[in-house]
Amino acid sequence: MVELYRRSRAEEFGITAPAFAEMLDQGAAKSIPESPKPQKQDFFNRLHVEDLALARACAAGNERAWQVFMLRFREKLYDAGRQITRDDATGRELADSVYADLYGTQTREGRRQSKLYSYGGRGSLGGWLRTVLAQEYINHYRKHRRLVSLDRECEEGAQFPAVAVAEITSVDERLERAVDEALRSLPAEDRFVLASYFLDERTLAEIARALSVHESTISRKVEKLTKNLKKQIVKLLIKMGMSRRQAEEALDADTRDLRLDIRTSLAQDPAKAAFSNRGAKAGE
Amino acid sequence: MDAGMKKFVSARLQAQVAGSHPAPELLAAYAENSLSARDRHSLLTHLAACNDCRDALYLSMPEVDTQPVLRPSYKSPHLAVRWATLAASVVILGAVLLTNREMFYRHPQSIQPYSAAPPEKIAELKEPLRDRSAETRSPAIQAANKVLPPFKHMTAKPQASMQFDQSGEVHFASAQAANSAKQISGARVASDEMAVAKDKKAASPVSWNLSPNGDVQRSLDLGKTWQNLPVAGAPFRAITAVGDDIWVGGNAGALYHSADAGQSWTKIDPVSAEDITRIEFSDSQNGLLNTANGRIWSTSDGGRTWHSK
Repeated sequence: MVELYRRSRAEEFGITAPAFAEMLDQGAAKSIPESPKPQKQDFFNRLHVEDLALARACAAGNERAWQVFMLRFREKLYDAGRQITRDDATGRELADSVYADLYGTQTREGRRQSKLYSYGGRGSLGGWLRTVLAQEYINHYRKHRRLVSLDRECEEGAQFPAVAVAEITSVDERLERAVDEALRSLPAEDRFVLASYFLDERTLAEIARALSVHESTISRKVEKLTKNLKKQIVKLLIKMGMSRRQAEEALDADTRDLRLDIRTSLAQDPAKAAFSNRGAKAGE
Repeated sequence: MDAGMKKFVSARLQAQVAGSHPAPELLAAYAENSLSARDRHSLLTHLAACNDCRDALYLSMPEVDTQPVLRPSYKSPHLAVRWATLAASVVILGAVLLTNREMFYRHPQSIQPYSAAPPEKIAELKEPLRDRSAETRSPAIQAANKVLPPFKHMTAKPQASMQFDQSGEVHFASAQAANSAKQISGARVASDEMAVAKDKKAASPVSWNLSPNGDVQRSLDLGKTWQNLPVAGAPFRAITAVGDDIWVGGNAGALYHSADAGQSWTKIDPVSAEDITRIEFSDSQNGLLNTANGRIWSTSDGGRTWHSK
């Protein structure tokens, strides 16, 4: 613990050793409750203690800590904002709004409510800030853009667009069950690859970076997965009483037969913020 | 995937229930490859079902240089071996052709019109031969030092009992010399067998891994059992092995190298102050490492110097 305290440079920001130890214990209690001492020590060793001490000192309003924070992360935050929004002005606006949350514009019981209190040191502070920016962008900017005003729609010539009506189902329920079962049998990583590739239409390079593997590995994985998935679904459908021909025809069914219009489904409800405080707290 | 099936699968993926969102620091830790296997699995399970979190993950990943790098060949050692074999074949073929050309040029010059040599010339030519036969005190050394003419000029394969002199003439060696040639040949076979055994020994199934605590682990039985190796600087986050060369990297740029299969370790000067999240070497000299800020560093001199890509 002494070594961690020294490494964290928490003393520079006025955090005492007992306060630092308490900070770590709180993090462990939240992330790995009721774990034996060696496991806790390992958890502490893996923490980015320097970033954690800086974040907590900033959250507590330490001037020196804020100077260091601004020096280390100000430009990075703006760069990340620009990269996420792909627009200079929007990127700065996004970064500024996150700054306000980091500083804490609201107070509770005389204490400023800084978002930095929720940082626990498991990833780097830089990575955490990028994720917070991305979540903020998803919650606010991107969804806000989908709410195009009626005036603007009129200006753009898209007056009174027809309301999308969900297709009435004619899909064999056995097909849905077979697909669900086949998907459930896949490892989480494979489902992530399928969702990224087919639902999100991410490139192979993007998926490869997310999984820290080479692009060609993902290419081979997608090919193999789709082949095996089809085999598995057909096998399950046959097991459920269809002939092979029926099973293959069911899979090749016209997209009009689909219960869901995928594109409509993908456009999520803009009124519901994905990373609301409640959601974030639940996940912490 | 057929369009119909793609839509069905997408629809069912979309219909999955994701549960509560993970904390941002878990997504950040995932992107930096610093989650434990258990946390990584549970996060991937959520990500597979949650469109928003997948978006957040992809958006929050730092941009990297998109210039083409040698990652494909680097990442695929088999492909690299194939290319190296092809290149070596081309070089050998080129060398053989060059040698042949030289011999073809030399060959006509070596063919002299037959003319009866005077008896004194014949005696002069035979004299050195007698001298050499007198120097057969160490046939093994002589056999090793002799210069063989190119085989292309011969109509039969050389036998162990044949000896060649600098002029290209063939002489039949004595029984002693033949025996020593056989001994040399036998010794070569034995040394080849030793090399194969050594190779087999080198190819014994040694596996390397990092424990969930970040300790270096070695397995000598294809991963059935693992033993922890004490390495200063643990916990580590990345490991790679090429033959006896093992590389491990961890927090704050900690990088260690063992050139003797983990018997001793050397600390390498920090490449970067950022955490090392991944290391890969295609051979003992050429390698890449990733740091938590998304940068890629490469070395081509066994880790003495590193350059950012």
